[in-house]
Amino acid sequence: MASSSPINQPRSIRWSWQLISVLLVLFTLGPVAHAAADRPGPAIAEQALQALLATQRAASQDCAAPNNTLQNALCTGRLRIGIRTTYKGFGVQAAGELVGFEIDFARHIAKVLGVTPEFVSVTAADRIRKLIDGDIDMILATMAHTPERAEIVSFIRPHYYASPTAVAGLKSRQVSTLDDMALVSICVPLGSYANITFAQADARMLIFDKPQRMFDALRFGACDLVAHDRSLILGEVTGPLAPDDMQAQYEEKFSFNEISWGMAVRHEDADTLGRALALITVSAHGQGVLIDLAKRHGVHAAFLDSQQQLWSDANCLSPDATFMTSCLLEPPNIGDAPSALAPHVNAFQQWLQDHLDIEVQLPMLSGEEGFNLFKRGIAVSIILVISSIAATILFGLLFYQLSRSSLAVVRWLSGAIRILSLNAPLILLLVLAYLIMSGFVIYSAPIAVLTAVLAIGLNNGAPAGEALIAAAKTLDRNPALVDVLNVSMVQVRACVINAAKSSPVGAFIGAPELLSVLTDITSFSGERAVTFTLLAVFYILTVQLVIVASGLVATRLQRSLGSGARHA
Amino acid sequence: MLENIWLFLDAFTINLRVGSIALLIGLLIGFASALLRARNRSATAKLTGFFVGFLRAFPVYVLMFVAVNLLASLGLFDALTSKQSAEAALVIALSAYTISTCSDAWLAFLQNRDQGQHSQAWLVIPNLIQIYVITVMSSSVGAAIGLQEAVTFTLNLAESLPTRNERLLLVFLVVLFFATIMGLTRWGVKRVSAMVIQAPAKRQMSSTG
Repeated sequence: MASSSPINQPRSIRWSWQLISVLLVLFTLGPVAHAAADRPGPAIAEQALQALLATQRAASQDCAAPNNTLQNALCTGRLRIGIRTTYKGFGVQAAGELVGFEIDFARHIAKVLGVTPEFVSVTAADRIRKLIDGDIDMILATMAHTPERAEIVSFIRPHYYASPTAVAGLKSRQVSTLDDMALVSICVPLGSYANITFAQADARMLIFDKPQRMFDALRFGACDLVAHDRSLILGEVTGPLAPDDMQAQYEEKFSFNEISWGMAVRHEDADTLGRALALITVSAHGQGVLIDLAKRHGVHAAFLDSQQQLWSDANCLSPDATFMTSCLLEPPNIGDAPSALAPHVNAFQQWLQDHLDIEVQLPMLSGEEGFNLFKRGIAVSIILVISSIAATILFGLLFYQLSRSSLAVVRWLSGAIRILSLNAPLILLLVLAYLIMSGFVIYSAPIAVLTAVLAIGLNNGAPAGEALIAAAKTLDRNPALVDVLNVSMVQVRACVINAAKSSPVGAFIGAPELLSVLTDITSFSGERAVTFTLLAVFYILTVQLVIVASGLVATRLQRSLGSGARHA
Repeated sequence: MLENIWLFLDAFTINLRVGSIALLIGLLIGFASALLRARNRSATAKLTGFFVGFLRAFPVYVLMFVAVNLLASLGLFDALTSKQSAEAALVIALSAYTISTCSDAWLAFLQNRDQGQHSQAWLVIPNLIQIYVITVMSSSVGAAIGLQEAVTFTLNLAESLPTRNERLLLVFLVVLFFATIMGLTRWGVKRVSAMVIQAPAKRQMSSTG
């Protein structure tokens, strides 16, 4: 009986078998080998991905005990992906359906993994918390890779997208660099690190937590400029996908600070789901999948072309699909560096969390830039309050003295200025003072404070002057100033208190007082609750202090005037 | 030119609307707080007095920013557009002023009425008119949070003018507009108040005469 084993077959037949086997292997592996030669990067990544998935399936013991997010997704056939649903071009809900570059990339990832994507809507504010809380398995939601965020979650590299911050505005508006932005009002997204740059440029920021609200504000004229990732500016304001009226009116002025966007997973999933996502991204870059998707949704960026070039050959991958670190982009260090107080502040925040279950952030103390701004804001506010009070008293006395001038023209002119200053809204007086001052001197922060002091002094000094003049009429023909002050003390004191209350309005013309700097800090830190509570407490205490101090001064003055009168 | 005047007046209706809502809130809460404050020496009166004093010391401008940021961070403005949330923040800020001043005006009214000084009590009306006008004028701080009221309209229009002098002239004219309204109101209130105060004396003189 002839054996079927080739070993026992005659040599010619054995050679024939070997030849057929070699041909079969070449025939089967030919296209793969060709593809690998054509796109070695993607081929290596795909091979590594299949090996990883096989290992994970095996490790889950036929899904009896999945012990990480990837195994769980492979077993349940579902992957929960946090996506944006209000970000044009990247993720929006249109006619009940999700569309966008990130949505399609998420679908691509799910297809490669062999699972069904489950989309969970996230915002810039809650995406990391949802991942940490286990509400989602991964983030694919326009998230810039920063060192601060990387401490909390694991970013996937290579990055899948990158976008600079673009500044757009009315075509008629003359702004071309950051140097042109002093006092210019700009709508910015809450918590964007690019806002540090605008704060340093002395721009007046209006903060919005939702992109749509921000563009809505730009449309109705709340701000002169708008800043966001260029991808969104293109989609909403200047690009071909933007509404016609926006395209007609607005244009991109300049852009800066390109930042890479990364998907993110929990730290414990970095070597499993994170690794799988990284390999899928390599393949998607190398094969041009991401370029196709970006073009389809009108968000194509030069970054994608450079990444395709990088990952389409084998230079960035070792044979076991380890990434060359030189091919991976590091997150830019654009956040606020820790201040000298940071360790104590962090310890205090942790103590509050542990003992009182209160989650508090103090960016004005923990960050270097934030702390410097905060210190400057408090100092300027105190200077502004004291100077405004002094200016109010001085203008009051000046108006009173001018009203007693022997020259009719002086009396008439000072009366006209007094009535105008008394009845005009402070904010318009500030703008008027700003327009006059900026015509004579180079406008800067100290000049802004001086201008604010003059306008606040005029606005509150005018009623103080009125009170002095009215008091003088109730006294002798030529009353002494101390007697006039004594009679009008209540009204003058009210003007002094009002000057302290009005002082934060100086922020409107660029005085870098506490309200102004805390708005800046909020814009890049994203924290609002504690910051604005602190602001409220500061000004309430300041005004209360002025009320108490002015009361004491008034009482003492009246006593000394009274005793003086008795002695006389 | 004429079109800009119409647009300005149209924007001014936002000041009037915001001022009216804030006054209405002030009238209601102010009256309730005045009733409580009128109960001499009670703990409720003291507490209400403290509350009114607290609102009086709160700078409107700061409160507007606190409202726009703090309430937004709590999600209270989620259902509103940016325009509506700016208006809501401004109304809240101005209400702190109207509540405290209306409370004082109502308290004076109640005290004068209880003391039988009825004509003095009716001074509350010119006082409330003055509060309303000051509130409308103060609503111009809404420009800082992008509300499209009369001052914001003026500033945007000024921005489109080519020279500084033209801008100065425009802002000056709008200052004159506001100052005239405010000045006339103050003058009217002063006259009416004087008439109200002098009325009993005149009546007495005519009856004795």
